[in-house]
Amino acid sequence: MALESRQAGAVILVYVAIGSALGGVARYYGNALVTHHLGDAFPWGTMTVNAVGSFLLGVILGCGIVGGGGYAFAAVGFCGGLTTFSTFSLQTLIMVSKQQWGYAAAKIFGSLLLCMLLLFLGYWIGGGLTS
Amino acid sequence: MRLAPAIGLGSALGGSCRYLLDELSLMIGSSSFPLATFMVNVSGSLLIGWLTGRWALGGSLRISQEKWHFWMTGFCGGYTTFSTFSFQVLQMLQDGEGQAAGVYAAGSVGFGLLAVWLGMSIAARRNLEAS
Repeated sequence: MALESRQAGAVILVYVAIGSALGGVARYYGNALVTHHLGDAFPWGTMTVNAVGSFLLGVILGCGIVGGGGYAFAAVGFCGGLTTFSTFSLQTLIMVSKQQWGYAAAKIFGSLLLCMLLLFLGYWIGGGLTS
Repeated sequence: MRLAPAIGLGSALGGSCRYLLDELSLMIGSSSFPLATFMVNVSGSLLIGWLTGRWALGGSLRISQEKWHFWMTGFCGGYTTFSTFSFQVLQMLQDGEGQAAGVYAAGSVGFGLLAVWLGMSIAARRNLEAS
């Protein structure tokens, strides 16, 4: 039993790792794409990947996927790997150090509001609010 | 596509660390405050600040592109998460715990910024000693 649960745990970890790898690569290319189109005056790329990742997490949870391999791969792995808090902090600190207070406030409150709104929307689309 | 393997591997490693720390925190005991995600996001911010200070201060990269993207884009990005963070804040709000949501959101952003600054400061000091 102990061995079986340890094996199951290892399989879950592999799901998380593969999902994270795909999410991280998608974040890099998504960020590059957005920056290419919108420029780098404001870090739209990070805000976009965080918003998309939050939306997807909402859809996953709304569909009722809250555990097991699918959740580990898609929610913990892919959405977790697609979104980033460290780059968000770094970019905001750079704005603060340049005394770009408006940018910093827009980055913080914009990211939070947008991500929560899209997560909620995703949850609704996924069916979590009706079923 | 040259950088995709480095980013994917770094993200897989970062995402796995995040998952394992989350599991560890569940073994220690569950609480209404999402301590594991908070710790992951703040420590990831500390690391990204330190790496930036160590390798990229002044604008020029002092290491290879592959190594930079493995650690920064891959590991730090995959390790930290904005989607789970958004979900937790939203959940607290929906549960009517507005104060807890505010403390968690402001604490994560505030300590995240402080951690980036601290990481950069430690790296700058080390760079100074090394020179």
